[in-house]
Amino acid sequence: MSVALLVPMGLLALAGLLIPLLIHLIRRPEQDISDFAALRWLRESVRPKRRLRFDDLWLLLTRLVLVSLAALLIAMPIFRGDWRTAHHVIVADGGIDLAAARMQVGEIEADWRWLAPGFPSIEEAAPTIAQPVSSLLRELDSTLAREDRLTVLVPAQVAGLDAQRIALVHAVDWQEVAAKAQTSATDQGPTTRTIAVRHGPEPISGDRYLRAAVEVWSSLSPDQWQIDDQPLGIPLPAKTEGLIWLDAAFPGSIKSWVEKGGRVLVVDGKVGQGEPVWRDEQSEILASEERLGRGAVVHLQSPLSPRSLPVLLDADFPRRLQELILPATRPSDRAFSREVEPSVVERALADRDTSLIPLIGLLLALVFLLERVLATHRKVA
Amino acid sequence: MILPDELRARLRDLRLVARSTAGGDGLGMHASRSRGAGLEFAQYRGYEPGDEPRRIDWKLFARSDRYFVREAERDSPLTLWIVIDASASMAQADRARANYSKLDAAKLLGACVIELALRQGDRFGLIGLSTEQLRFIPEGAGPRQRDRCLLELDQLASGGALPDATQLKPFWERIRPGSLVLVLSDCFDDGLVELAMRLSAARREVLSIQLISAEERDFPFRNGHRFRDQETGAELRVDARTARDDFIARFAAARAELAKRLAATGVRHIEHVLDEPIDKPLRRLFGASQSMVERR
Repeated sequence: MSVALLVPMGLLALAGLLIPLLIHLIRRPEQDISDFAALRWLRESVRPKRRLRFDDLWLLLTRLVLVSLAALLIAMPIFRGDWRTAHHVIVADGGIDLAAARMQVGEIEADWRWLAPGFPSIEEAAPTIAQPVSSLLRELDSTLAREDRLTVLVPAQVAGLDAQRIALVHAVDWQEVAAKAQTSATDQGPTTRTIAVRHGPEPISGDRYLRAAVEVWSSLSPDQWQIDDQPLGIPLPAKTEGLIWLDAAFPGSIKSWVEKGGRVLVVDGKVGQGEPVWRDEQSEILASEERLGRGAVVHLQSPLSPRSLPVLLDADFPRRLQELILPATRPSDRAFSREVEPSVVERALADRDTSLIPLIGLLLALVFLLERVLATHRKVA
Repeated sequence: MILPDELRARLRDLRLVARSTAGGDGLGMHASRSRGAGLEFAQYRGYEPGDEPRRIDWKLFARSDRYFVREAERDSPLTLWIVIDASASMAQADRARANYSKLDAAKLLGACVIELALRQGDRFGLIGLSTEQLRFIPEGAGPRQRDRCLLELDQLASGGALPDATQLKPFWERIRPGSLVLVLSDCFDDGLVELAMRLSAARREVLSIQLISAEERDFPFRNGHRFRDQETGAELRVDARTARDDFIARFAAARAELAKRLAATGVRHIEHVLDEPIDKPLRRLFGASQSMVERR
């Protein structure tokens, strides 16, 4: 909350203050001469004092103020900081049901807007196409003042995200609202992926590493992964995309499943078959992928022990495993809303400046009017 | 120079009177010790309040049913001399009214008293004094004389200093004892004051009107100012605010001194400031109360 100058060099124009001062100085040689018959009774008086005297003080002061305002105008003053009261902005994603949202939020005084470019008012129609939600939220966050409050209303699943987690300056009130009752066949939910793990009667060595990795997936994103860990013989659940076969060889039923488009990971050490998809620092092949029909078999190096496969202990082993099993997909821009709730980060916000130029301009016009009135009035008198 | 009508109206109740009445022939307005016959008729004048009822011509009243008073040629032995100072200092005018100088005021006063004298049938003459011009109109009476004097007044212009005593001597001798002399001047020049006092001492009745401008009375100047004397050409640079009180005090002292001197020799002296009405000094000199006193 302070006043600042955008062009401080403009204050050099204050040198113009000298001009009215010089004009108004009473100059000795220009005194009036009057005829005076009674001169002999007039005594020559003490000379007028040496200090400077100015003619018509009020007009001089008005002109000085005028020049100062003009210099200030050149220096472009602005008022930093926000002197408005804190707003409460409620921004709603296009996919929510507005009535339900209003009921949920209640009667509070706030500025309702749609989460769309330009942030139109809630009175207008909801945006129909998918909006870049992350980007818009970041934009809104940076344009609001620090004191403002922000509430975001999203449906259960939010689309239009980008790869970066949303981190905002404002502490957002992230509310999940019932989605609009609209059916869109093209709407795909964020895929819940089903992974099946089948183990034989005897556990193979190192299977705990694989199980641990799978555990990591499901703990990070519980909604996204469905893990079916059963002994052999239990049929695979529908829509299984990936299978981890913790046994020697897999039967023909599995093979036919793979040929239809499934992927299976086998720990058999036959990394010579198929394409190498994972090498370590010494260029040793750790895993290879063998195409089989529409699916693939991924051979993992065995035995699964930290001594032979140090990568088992790496922090990104679960991720690698995920990449091996599941086909590389287009990065999804959909997520469950409660998983993408923004976090708070400390960042500098651009200050909102208000330009004082119109105010100074108006003041200048008024003072100029006053100066003209004083100047012409003086001549009449 | 034509007097404005309303000024003329204000002069109606003024009378020129002299203190010492000289002997003259015949009856007249002025009480005289010598009363004799041989009236030379001059004109009939309408009766005005204040005239003696015995002067009314009753035969004319019978004919016209209005009162008329006879006036005779030698009824009025009064001779009025108007002396106007036309030196350079008389060109002083107020800044507020730059076309009305002291000389203009003097001319106006002169025209007024000429009118009074004419009405009374008195004789009058004019003397205008300055270095360049020394105007002299010998005394006479009647409208012709008035026109001559008014023309001379119109042509009178200010400039220079007063002529010295030797130049004036022949003219002073034309002013007979017993005449009324009206001196219109600002009295800044001591020569004229001396002459007035000498005349008064020599059995002439002298009336003096001192003309003062409003600025000389008030000194309204501000800030630094340069003043110039018209007669001597001297300039003085003055800080008006600090000089004001001093000037007013000294000028007032000088005026009081002058009045005392003139009064000591029997000169009737009054002051007239330019922003006052022009008939005020005349009223003081010739007003009704005065003439009432004289009639006794």
